[in-house]
Amino acid sequence: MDPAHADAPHAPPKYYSIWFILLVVTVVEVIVGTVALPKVVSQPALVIMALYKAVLVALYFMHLKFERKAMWIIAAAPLIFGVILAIGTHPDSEKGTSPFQRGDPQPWLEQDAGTHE
Amino acid sequence: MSEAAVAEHPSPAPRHAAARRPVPEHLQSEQRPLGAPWDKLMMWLFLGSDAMGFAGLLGVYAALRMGDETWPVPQEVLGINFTGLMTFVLICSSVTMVKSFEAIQRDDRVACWRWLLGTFLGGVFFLAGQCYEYTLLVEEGVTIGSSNFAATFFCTTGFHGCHVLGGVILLGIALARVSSGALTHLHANFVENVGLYWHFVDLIWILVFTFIYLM
Repeated sequence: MDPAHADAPHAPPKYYSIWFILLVVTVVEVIVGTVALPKVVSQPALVIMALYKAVLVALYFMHLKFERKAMWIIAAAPLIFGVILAIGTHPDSEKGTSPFQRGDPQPWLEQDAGTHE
Repeated sequence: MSEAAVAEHPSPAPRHAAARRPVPEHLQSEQRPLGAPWDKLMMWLFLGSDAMGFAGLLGVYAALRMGDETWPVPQEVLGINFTGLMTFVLICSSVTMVKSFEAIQRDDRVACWRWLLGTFLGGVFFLAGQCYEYTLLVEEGVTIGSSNFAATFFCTTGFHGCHVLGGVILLGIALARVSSGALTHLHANFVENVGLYWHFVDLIWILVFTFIYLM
Protein backbone atom coordinates (compact mmCIF):
# COMPACT_ATOMS: atom_id res chain seq x y z
CA MET A 1 0.00 0.00 0.00
CA ASP A 2 1.06 3.55 -0.62
CA PRO A 3 2.95 4.69 2.49
CA ALA A 4 1.20 8.04 2.38
CA HIS A 5 -2.23 6.43 2.25
CA ALA A 6 -2.84 6.43 6.00
CA ASP A 7 -2.08 10.13 6.31
CA ALA A 8 -3.95 11.13 3.15
CA PRO A 9 -6.96 13.36 3.75
CA HIS A 10 -10.30 11.62 3.54
CA ALA A 11 -13.90 12.72 3.75
CA PRO A 12 -14.95 12.75 7.40
CA PRO A 13 -17.34 9.93 8.28
CA LYS A 14 -20.98 10.81 8.85
CA TYR A 15 -20.80 10.51 12.63
CA TYR A 16 -24.45 11.33 13.26
CA SER A 17 -25.56 8.63 10.82
CA ILE A 18 -23.38 6.07 12.61
CA TRP A 19 -24.74 7.30 15.95
CA PHE A 20 -28.33 6.87 14.72
CA ILE A 21 -27.63 3.35 13.44
CA LEU A 22 -26.04 2.43 16.80
CA LEU A 23 -29.07 3.72 18.69
CA VAL A 24 -31.57 1.90 16.48
CA VAL A 25 -29.65 -1.39 16.74
CA THR A 26 -29.42 -0.93 20.54
CA VAL A 27 -33.19 -0.47 20.79
CA VAL A 28 -33.75 -3.58 18.63
CA GLU A 29 -31.28 -5.47 20.84
CA VAL A 30 -33.16 -4.53 24.02
CA ILE A 31 -36.45 -5.61 22.43
CA VAL A 32 -35.00 -8.93 21.22
CA GLY A 33 -33.39 -9.49 24.63
CA THR A 34 -36.54 -8.84 26.66
CA VAL A 35 -39.39 -10.34 24.62
CA ALA A 36 -39.96 -14.09 24.72
CA LEU A 37 -38.31 -15.32 21.54
CA PRO A 38 -36.87 -18.81 21.00
CA LYS A 39 -33.21 -18.83 22.03
CA VAL A 40 -32.23 -20.30 18.69
CA VAL A 41 -33.46 -17.05 17.12
CA SER A 42 -32.66 -14.42 19.76
CA GLN A 43 -29.11 -15.43 20.69
CA PRO A 44 -27.56 -15.47 17.18
CA ALA A 45 -29.43 -12.22 16.42
CA LEU A 46 -28.02 -10.58 19.54
CA VAL A 47 -24.47 -11.71 18.75
CA ILE A 48 -24.70 -10.45 15.17
CA MET A 49 -26.08 -7.08 16.29
CA ALA A 50 -23.40 -6.67 18.99
CA LEU A 51 -20.60 -7.49 16.54
CA TYR A 52 -22.10 -5.14 13.95
CA LYS A 53 -22.14 -2.29 16.49
CA ALA A 54 -18.59 -3.06 17.62
CA VAL A 55 -17.36 -3.03 14.01
CA LEU A 56 -19.09 0.31 13.36
CA VAL A 57 -17.42 1.88 16.41
CA ALA A 58 -13.99 0.52 15.43
CA LEU A 59 -14.23 1.47 11.75
CA TYR A 60 -15.70 4.96 12.04
CA PHE A 61 -15.22 6.32 15.57
CA MET A 62 -11.77 4.78 16.00
CA HIS A 63 -11.01 5.57 12.35
CA LEU A 64 -9.73 2.05 11.70
CA LYS A 65 -11.26 2.26 8.23
CA PHE A 66 -8.74 4.98 7.36
CA GLU A 67 -5.69 3.26 8.85
CA ARG A 68 -3.36 0.99 6.95
CA LYS A 69 -4.40 -2.62 6.70
CA ALA A 70 -1.35 -3.60 8.74
CA MET A 71 -2.85 -1.71 11.68
CA TRP A 72 -5.87 -3.98 11.41
CA ILE A 73 -3.66 -6.88 12.50
CA ILE A 74 -3.18 -5.21 15.90
CA ALA A 75 -6.93 -4.70 16.18
CA ALA A 76 -7.66 -8.28 15.08
CA ALA A 77 -5.13 -9.94 17.41
CA PRO A 78 -7.53 -10.10 20.40
CA LEU A 79 -10.14 -11.76 18.17
CA ILE A 80 -7.67 -14.47 17.16
CA PHE A 81 -6.76 -15.13 20.79
CA GLY A 82 -10.45 -14.97 21.69
CA VAL A 83 -11.16 -17.84 19.30
CA ILE A 84 -8.27 -19.86 20.81
CA LEU A 85 -9.70 -19.12 24.28
CA ALA A 86 -13.18 -20.25 23.22
CA ILE A 87 -11.82 -23.51 21.79
CA GLY A 88 -9.64 -24.07 24.86
CA THR A 89 -12.45 -23.58 27.36
CA HIS A 90 -15.07 -25.48 25.37
CA PRO A 91 -14.49 -28.81 27.16
CA ASP A 92 -15.31 -27.02 30.46
CA SER A 93 -18.51 -25.60 29.03
CA GLU A 94 -20.61 -28.71 28.60
CA LYS A 95 -23.88 -28.73 30.50
CA GLY A 96 -23.61 -30.00 34.02
CA THR A 97 -19.85 -30.45 33.98
CA SER A 98 -18.99 -27.33 35.96
CA PRO A 99 -17.62 -28.18 39.41
CA PHE A 100 -18.80 -24.78 40.59
CA GLN A 101 -22.57 -25.11 40.24
CA ARG A 102 -24.71 -23.26 42.72
CA GLY A 103 -25.58 -25.53 45.61
CA ASP A 104 -22.52 -27.72 45.17
CA PRO A 105 -20.39 -28.12 48.29
CA GLN A 106 -17.63 -25.52 48.34
CA PRO A 107 -15.34 -26.65 51.18
CA TRP A 108 -12.98 -23.70 50.80
CA LEU A 109 -15.84 -21.29 51.63
CA GLU A 110 -16.83 -23.33 54.69
CA GLN A 111 -13.19 -23.36 55.76
CA ASP A 112 -13.03 -19.56 55.40
CA ALA A 113 -16.23 -19.17 57.39
CA GLY A 114 -14.75 -21.35 60.12
CA THR A 115 -11.65 -19.24 60.47
CA HIS A 116 -13.70 -16.08 60.98
CA GLU A 117 -15.75 -17.55 63.81
CA MET B 1 -12.36 26.68 33.98
CA SER B 2 -15.18 28.20 31.97
CA GLU B 3 -15.75 28.32 28.22
CA ALA B 4 -14.92 32.06 28.24
CA ALA B 5 -11.57 31.28 29.75
CA VAL B 6 -10.86 28.89 26.90
CA ALA B 7 -11.57 31.62 24.34
CA GLU B 8 -9.31 34.10 26.17
CA HIS B 9 -6.21 31.98 25.71
CA PRO B 10 -4.64 32.53 22.30
CA SER B 11 -3.13 29.56 20.49
CA PRO B 12 0.47 29.59 21.62
CA ALA B 13 3.41 28.65 19.50
CA PRO B 14 4.81 25.21 20.31
CA ARG B 15 6.39 25.71 23.71
CA HIS B 16 10.06 24.95 24.27
CA ALA B 17 10.41 24.22 20.56
CA ALA B 18 13.96 25.54 20.47
CA ALA B 19 14.94 23.61 23.57
CA ARG B 20 13.71 20.27 22.23
CA ARG B 21 16.24 17.70 21.19
CA PRO B 22 16.09 16.70 17.53
CA VAL B 23 13.89 13.68 16.87
CA PRO B 24 16.02 10.62 16.07
CA GLU B 25 15.82 9.57 12.45
CA HIS B 26 14.16 6.24 13.14
CA LEU B 27 11.36 8.03 15.01
CA GLN B 28 10.67 10.63 12.32
CA SER B 29 7.38 10.61 10.48
CA GLU B 30 8.78 8.97 7.34
CA GLN B 31 9.95 6.04 9.47
CA ARG B 32 6.64 5.50 11.29
CA PRO B 33 5.72 1.85 11.42
CA LEU B 34 2.26 1.21 9.97
CA GLY B 35 2.07 4.88 8.97
CA ALA B 36 0.87 5.99 12.39
CA PRO B 37 2.47 8.28 14.96
CA TRP B 38 4.24 6.38 17.71
CA ASP B 39 1.84 7.41 20.46
CA LYS B 40 -1.16 6.25 18.42
CA LEU B 41 0.54 2.96 17.63
CA MET B 42 1.29 2.42 21.33
CA MET B 43 -2.32 3.21 22.21
CA TRP B 44 -3.53 0.61 19.71
CA LEU B 45 -1.11 -1.97 21.13
CA PHE B 46 -2.36 -1.19 24.65
CA LEU B 47 -5.98 -1.50 23.53
CA GLY B 48 -5.21 -4.81 21.81
CA SER B 49 -3.70 -6.27 24.98
CA ASP B 50 -6.46 -4.79 27.14
CA ALA B 51 -9.08 -6.37 24.89
CA MET B 52 -7.54 -9.76 25.67
CA GLY B 53 -8.16 -9.11 29.36
CA PHE B 54 -11.83 -8.52 28.63
CA ALA B 55 -11.87 -11.59 26.37
CA GLY B 56 -10.62 -13.61 29.33
CA LEU B 57 -13.36 -12.29 31.62
CA LEU B 58 -16.10 -12.88 29.06
CA GLY B 59 -14.61 -16.33 28.34
CA VAL B 60 -14.83 -17.24 32.03
CA TYR B 61 -18.41 -15.96 32.12
CA ALA B 62 -19.34 -18.10 29.10
CA ALA B 63 -17.57 -21.23 30.36
CA LEU B 64 -19.15 -21.03 33.83
CA ARG B 65 -22.58 -20.19 32.46
CA MET B 66 -22.72 -22.97 29.89
CA GLY B 67 -21.55 -25.52 32.42
CA ASP B 68 -24.08 -24.50 35.07
CA GLU B 69 -27.70 -25.54 34.65
CA THR B 70 -28.78 -23.42 37.61
CA TRP B 71 -27.59 -20.13 36.08
CA PRO B 72 -30.19 -17.38 36.60
CA VAL B 73 -31.90 -15.54 33.73
CA PRO B 74 -30.03 -12.18 33.66
CA GLN B 75 -33.12 -10.21 32.64
CA GLU B 76 -34.84 -11.32 35.87
CA VAL B 77 -31.96 -10.11 38.06
CA LEU B 78 -30.67 -7.03 36.23
CA GLY B 79 -32.47 -3.85 35.20
CA ILE B 80 -32.35 -3.93 31.41
CA ASN B 81 -34.13 -0.64 30.73
CA PHE B 82 -31.89 1.37 33.05
CA THR B 83 -28.76 -0.25 31.63
CA GLY B 84 -30.12 0.44 28.15
CA LEU B 85 -30.19 4.12 29.12
CA MET B 86 -26.57 3.90 30.33
CA THR B 87 -25.65 2.31 26.99
CA PHE B 88 -27.44 5.11 25.15
CA VAL B 89 -25.46 7.74 27.07
CA LEU B 90 -22.15 5.95 26.43
CA ILE B 91 -22.84 5.77 22.68
CA CYS B 92 -23.74 9.48 22.69
CA SER B 93 -20.47 10.24 24.51
CA SER B 94 -18.56 8.48 21.72
CA VAL B 95 -20.05 10.91 19.23
CA THR B 96 -19.19 13.95 21.37
CA MET B 97 -15.65 12.57 21.72
CA VAL B 98 -15.10 12.25 18.00
CA LYS B 99 -16.57 15.73 17.46
CA SER B 100 -14.08 17.16 19.97
CA PHE B 101 -11.25 15.63 17.93
CA GLU B 102 -12.68 17.19 14.78
CA ALA B 103 -12.84 20.56 16.55
CA ILE B 104 -9.27 20.51 17.85
CA GLN B 105 -8.00 19.56 14.39
CA ARG B 106 -9.30 22.88 13.05
CA ASP B 107 -8.06 24.61 16.25
CA ASP B 108 -11.59 25.45 17.40
CA ARG B 109 -10.76 25.10 21.07
CA VAL B 110 -14.09 26.40 22.35
CA ALA B 111 -15.99 23.74 20.42
CA CYS B 112 -13.44 21.12 21.48
CA TRP B 113 -13.94 22.12 25.12
CA ARG B 114 -17.73 21.88 24.80
CA TRP B 115 -17.64 18.43 23.17
CA LEU B 116 -15.09 17.20 25.70
CA LEU B 117 -17.29 18.44 28.53
CA GLY B 118 -20.24 16.53 27.05
CA THR B 119 -18.13 13.37 26.89
CA PHE B 120 -16.91 13.90 30.44
CA LEU B 121 -20.46 14.32 31.75
CA GLY B 122 -21.55 11.21 29.84
CA GLY B 123 -18.81 9.22 31.56
CA VAL B 124 -19.77 10.60 34.96
CA PHE B 125 -23.41 9.68 34.32
CA PHE B 126 -22.39 6.14 33.37
CA LEU B 127 -20.32 5.74 36.54
CA ALA B 128 -23.14 7.11 38.70
CA GLY B 129 -25.56 4.72 37.00
CA GLN B 130 -23.26 1.79 37.68
CA CYS B 131 -22.96 2.74 41.36
CA TYR B 132 -26.77 2.98 41.56
CA GLU B 133 -27.15 -0.42 39.89
CA TYR B 134 -24.63 -2.04 42.25
CA THR B 135 -26.38 -0.50 45.27
CA LEU B 136 -29.74 -1.92 44.20
CA LEU B 137 -28.22 -5.37 43.62
CA VAL B 138 -26.45 -5.43 46.99
CA GLU B 139 -29.67 -4.36 48.72
CA GLU B 140 -31.38 -7.34 47.06
CA GLY B 141 -28.66 -9.63 48.40
CA VAL B 142 -26.76 -10.06 45.12
CA THR B 143 -23.13 -9.66 46.15
CA ILE B 144 -19.86 -10.80 44.60
CA GLY B 145 -19.84 -13.93 46.77
CA SER B 146 -23.47 -14.93 46.37
CA SER B 147 -23.16 -16.93 43.13
CA ASN B 148 -20.99 -17.54 40.10
CA PHE B 149 -23.30 -15.30 38.10
CA ALA B 150 -22.84 -12.44 40.58
CA ALA B 151 -19.07 -13.00 40.79
CA THR B 152 -18.54 -12.88 37.02
CA PHE B 153 -21.02 -10.02 36.66
CA PHE B 154 -19.32 -7.81 39.25
CA CYS B 155 -15.79 -8.67 38.04
CA THR B 156 -16.51 -7.95 34.37
CA THR B 157 -18.66 -4.84 34.81
CA GLY B 158 -16.40 -3.61 37.62
CA PHE B 159 -13.30 -3.98 35.43
CA HIS B 160 -15.10 -2.05 32.71
CA GLY B 161 -16.19 0.58 35.24
CA CYS B 162 -12.54 1.07 36.24
CA HIS B 163 -11.79 1.74 32.58
CA VAL B 164 -14.60 4.31 32.43
CA LEU B 165 -13.16 5.96 35.55
CA GLY B 166 -9.73 6.06 33.88
CA GLY B 167 -11.32 7.60 30.78
CA VAL B 168 -13.12 10.24 32.86
CA ILE B 169 -9.80 11.18 34.50
CA LEU B 170 -8.14 11.41 31.06
CA LEU B 171 -11.01 13.58 29.82
CA GLY B 172 -10.60 15.81 32.87
CA ILE B 173 -6.90 16.24 32.03
CA ALA B 174 -7.78 17.06 28.40
CA LEU B 175 -10.38 19.60 29.56
CA ALA B 176 -7.85 21.26 31.87
CA ARG B 177 -5.25 21.39 29.08
CA VAL B 178 -7.70 22.97 26.63
CA SER B 179 -8.79 25.46 29.30
CA SER B 180 -5.22 26.51 30.03
CA GLY B 181 -4.41 26.94 26.35
CA ALA B 182 -1.82 24.16 26.47
CA LEU B 183 -3.73 22.00 24.00
CA THR B 184 -4.08 23.25 20.44
CA HIS B 185 -4.36 21.75 16.98
CA LEU B 186 -0.63 21.02 17.26
CA HIS B 187 -1.48 18.48 19.97
CA ALA B 188 -4.55 17.00 18.32
CA ASN B 189 -3.03 13.54 18.60
CA PHE B 190 -3.49 13.73 22.39
CA VAL B 191 -7.24 14.17 21.92
CA GLU B 192 -7.20 11.42 19.28
CA ASN B 193 -5.54 8.98 21.69
CA VAL B 194 -7.95 9.84 24.51
CA GLY B 195 -10.70 9.31 21.95
CA LEU B 196 -9.33 5.92 20.91
CA TYR B 197 -9.40 4.83 24.55
CA TRP B 198 -12.91 6.17 25.07
CA HIS B 199 -14.31 4.48 21.95
CA PHE B 200 -12.67 1.23 23.07
CA VAL B 201 -14.49 1.53 26.41
CA ASP B 202 -17.73 2.06 24.46
CA LEU B 203 -17.00 -0.92 22.18
CA ILE B 204 -16.35 -3.22 25.13
CA TRP B 205 -19.56 -2.09 26.83
CA ILE B 206 -21.52 -2.94 23.67
CA LEU B 207 -20.25 -6.53 23.99
CA VAL B 208 -20.68 -6.70 27.79
CA PHE B 209 -24.23 -5.34 27.58
CA THR B 210 -25.18 -7.96 25.02
CA PHE B 211 -23.45 -11.00 26.50
CA ILE B 212 -24.17 -10.39 30.20
CA TYR B 213 -27.43 -8.44 30.24
CA LEU B 214 -29.36 -9.54 27.19
CA MET B 215 -28.36 -13.14 26.43
